[in-house]
Amino acid sequence: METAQERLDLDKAKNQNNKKSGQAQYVVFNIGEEEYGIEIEYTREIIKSAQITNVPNTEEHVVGVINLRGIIVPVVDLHSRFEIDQDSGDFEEDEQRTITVEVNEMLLGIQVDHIEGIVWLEEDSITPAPDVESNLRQDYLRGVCARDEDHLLILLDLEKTLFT
Amino acid sequence: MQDNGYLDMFFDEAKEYVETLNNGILTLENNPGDKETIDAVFRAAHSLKGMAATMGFQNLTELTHKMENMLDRVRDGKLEVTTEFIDLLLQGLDNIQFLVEKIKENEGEEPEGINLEGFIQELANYGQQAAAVSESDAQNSSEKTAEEFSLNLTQVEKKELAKIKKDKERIYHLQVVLDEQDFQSVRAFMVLKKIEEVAKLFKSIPAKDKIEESEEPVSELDIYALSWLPAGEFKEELAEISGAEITNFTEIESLEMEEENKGDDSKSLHAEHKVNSFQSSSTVRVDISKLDTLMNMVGELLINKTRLQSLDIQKSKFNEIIPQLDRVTMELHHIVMQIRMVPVGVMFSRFPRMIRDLSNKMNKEIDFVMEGQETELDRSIIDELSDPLTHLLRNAIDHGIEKPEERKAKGKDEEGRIELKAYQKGSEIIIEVSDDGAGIDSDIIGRKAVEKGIVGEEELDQLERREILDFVFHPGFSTAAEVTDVSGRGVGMDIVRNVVKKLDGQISIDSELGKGSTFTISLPLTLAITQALMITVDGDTFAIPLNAVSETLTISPENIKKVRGKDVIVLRENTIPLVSASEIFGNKNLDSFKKSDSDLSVVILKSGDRYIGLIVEELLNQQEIVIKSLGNYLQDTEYISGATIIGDGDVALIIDVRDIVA
Repeated sequence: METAQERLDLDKAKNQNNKKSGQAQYVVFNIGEEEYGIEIEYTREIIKSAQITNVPNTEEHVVGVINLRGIIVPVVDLHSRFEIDQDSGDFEEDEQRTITVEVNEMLLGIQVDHIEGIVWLEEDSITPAPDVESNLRQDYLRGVCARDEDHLLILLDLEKTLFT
Repeated sequence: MQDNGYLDMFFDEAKEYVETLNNGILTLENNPGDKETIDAVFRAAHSLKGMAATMGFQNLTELTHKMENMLDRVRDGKLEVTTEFIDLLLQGLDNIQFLVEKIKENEGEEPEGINLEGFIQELANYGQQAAAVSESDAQNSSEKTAEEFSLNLTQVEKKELAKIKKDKERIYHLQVVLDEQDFQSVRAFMVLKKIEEVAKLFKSIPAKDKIEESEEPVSELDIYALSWLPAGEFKEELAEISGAEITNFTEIESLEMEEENKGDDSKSLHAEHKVNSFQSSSTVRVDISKLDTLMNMVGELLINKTRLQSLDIQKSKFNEIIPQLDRVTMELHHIVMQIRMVPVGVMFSRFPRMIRDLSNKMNKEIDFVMEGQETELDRSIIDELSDPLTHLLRNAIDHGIEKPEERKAKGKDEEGRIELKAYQKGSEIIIEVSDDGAGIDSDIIGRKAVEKGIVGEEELDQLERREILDFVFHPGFSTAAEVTDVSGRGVGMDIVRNVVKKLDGQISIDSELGKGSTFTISLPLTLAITQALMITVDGDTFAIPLNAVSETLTISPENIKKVRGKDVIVLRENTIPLVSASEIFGNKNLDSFKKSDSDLSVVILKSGDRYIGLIVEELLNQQEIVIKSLGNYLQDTEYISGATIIGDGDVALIIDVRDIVA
């Protein structure tokens, strides 16, 4: 029932989304220790991680496919993409979720270690990602947002993250 | 912008009529006296005209009208079918297609600035001597206008009318006079169409289908209709149609009141003027996407049936229900498949015209033969296949068939022959394009392939003739000495192969120098559901489409031989290369299997006439699977063509046999 509840919240949040100007909603989650956010428009639902079938001969970040009510959905794991250790972060295994997103008209699942929630962010509070030298991750970022002191939320550019 | 529903219907039907016209005109060229064909062509032109007029496409209406007139004169024996006549009709048909295309581009409006008047005049002038006769015809019929305006309903019709009349509906009786000579029957048709939009057309004299069939112009209509609209609005609706004037209009308040003196001739009247409304047709037009959805639902049902079956419940009721469920789902699947099937003739029908035009243009004489037009294929496959076939046929004319002199010099018949055949072979549909032309020189192909760096020189020596011919499908390969506008610049054949591959089919080529070439396309009967052999590789379950499996066997590692550095087995004197499934999925290579003591499971795969042995971990069972796409994100995954959902709701991947055998 938890999945249904979370899906409902997503829908409700989306309905409210265009009510405030200069603000947008983000789904916030953890991969390893760090906190990431994606725009709520991309998201479809949040599900408990299902049985994944491995697909050979695919890129490293593709972990396989799941059966989502009869639809085959590819699932990606961003640990390898972001060069994050699989075991880093302080989360239990049953906190793991898959966020299904629709990007470029494709339905994909993103495996995350923990769902933090949905937040409103002022567009003004989002700053370009700081230039960290020779960090591949730079391309994948839309910007960062300081939520409170020494708490940085990393906003992802999903299209670049998934398709480059 | 017009209503899209009507517009789509218009395009659909226009396409059908154009096809009918095309086939008919070409048949007529060979059998000028064929009455049936003339009638069919006339009817198609006529219906097209009616539709165009209803939609308000003026140019198209006039064009089809003039063509219809020409055909009508042939029917009456006033004109003869000559080559000139056929050419003119074909030109007219091209213009129709051009107009329809333009209307499509222009979002349902006939674009302005298209001037077909010259051509339409040409049509009108053709065989003008007949014009005088039809004029006098028109006069005869207009005399009938004098008839008085009385209720022309039989007892039976009145009863029926009373029966179908809903509470607040009104019955209108009206007389419409059509004042323009030229388009009378078209306008009559428009009037009736309009009435059908705003009311129920109960009866018209003449009846709607009579107007369609009749050669005589209609100058007047007597109409009975049921409508919710008040009289004023009803009349307003009709006033939109130009050239049609309502001369009499009454609302029939009571049917019984006027039930006099009409008793005796009621039966014959009824028979003559067929009651027009509430005719139902036994066919339905369905959007293909609805069938796709239906197909998906059947797929879901099938998956769940398989899951039920795997529950292994030992109850007699359960064991009774399962076979029944099995039968029903199979039947359902069968019917849905059946609905989606379309005869390939639908697609083939455009080719004779194309061949005729191209062979004239290139001064080649070609006898084009089609076979198996009735062979059925899934609609979605047919839609995709038309371009590749067009390309193959063009190639056959351009590169295949030689010029007549050349053929004569070679001792061949001056007239070349191109055959297009379709037939079913097992669970596959085969489409062959063959010509008796120059054939393809494998030496030249080989040299070109080396030149273009597709293959090394030493490598080439190792290849069989067939493998060399296959290079024509390689991207960027073209052997045409000069590029013509008929066949392309070497971008064609690889696209042809890609399309066929996308449809889960294969294309192969066979050619003999001097004798001709044959391209063979084989396609699965259906894209969605298929029988598969389930296997495991490194613990994961995979499906192999059964039509790609030649046989399965168990071998001991000693049976593996080495030939020219490749691992093979010898099966009934055939040498079959071996591949480890685990290795192509990134794990254990063949050598590790050779060292093992236990026997190995091998699936012999076939693709075209090539065979390969795939070493798998375990052979499971054979079952029906629903093929699902991996989606665009994983579309190009090597060795995997799709996925399916198996008994426990897990996903099993489908092995792409062509990737392995190729």
